[in-house]
Amino acid sequence: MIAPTFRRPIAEVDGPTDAQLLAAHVAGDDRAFTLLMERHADRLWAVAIKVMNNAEDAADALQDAMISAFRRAESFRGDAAVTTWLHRIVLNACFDRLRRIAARRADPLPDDIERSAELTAPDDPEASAVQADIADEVTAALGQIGADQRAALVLVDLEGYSIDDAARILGCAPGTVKSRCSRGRARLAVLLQHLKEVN
Amino acid sequence: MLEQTADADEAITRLLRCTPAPVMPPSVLARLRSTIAGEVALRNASRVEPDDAVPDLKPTSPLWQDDPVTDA
Repeated sequence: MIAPTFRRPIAEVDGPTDAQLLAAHVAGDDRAFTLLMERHADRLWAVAIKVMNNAEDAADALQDAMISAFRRAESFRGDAAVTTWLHRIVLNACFDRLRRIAARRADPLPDDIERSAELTAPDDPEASAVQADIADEVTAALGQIGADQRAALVLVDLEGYSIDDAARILGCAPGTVKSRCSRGRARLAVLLQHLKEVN
Repeated sequence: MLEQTADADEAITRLLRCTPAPVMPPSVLARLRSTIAGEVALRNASRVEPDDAVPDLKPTSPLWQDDPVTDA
């Protein structure tokens, strides 16, 4: 089964599993799909915003993705985790959008999009500010590399998928994913060379 | 050189993993809830349920009959 392996562990939830929620949705449960979406909202948003590099476009792509997932839920065969299936649909929606807006210039992310949990203790505001600056720089640099490379890095480096699993999600050869990750990291290394090593 | 490349890759991966995970804005979440509610309504509206009250409903008309027609 294809499943991510690290870094953003999904909190243990009581109640039905993802697969059970999806099955309930297919069986006609009116609330099941909403529950499933809410459970994974932040992760799906993280993928969309990193790939689209624009909050408005990410929101539009996510809407397309959720409509597609809602209607195609019967096609889920259970050979991968539900989150993997959702990631694939979100990425396809993102790429569809990117193709349609190919000439659009990437806008910087608005300030409220990147609000998230503090990385340091509240009594260390200077370190918090430094971390936030680094995060902003990394996010901005990600926006400057190609969408294909961005998607590969999001899946492999951020979501923790193996090269092979990321390749299945993206519908390309593992070598292609490896190459995109390598080129993407090389480009980021140039863009971020002014940053000191992060602890 | 290869080692330097691998080290640089690792440094970039570490940087990427250090960025905080974005949280879906409430406005986006509300929009998705509304979208899904719309899909639910559409699905329910397009369901064709059998009409149990009239299981034998059949159009009756002197112009329509199920009997085979034979030319006499």
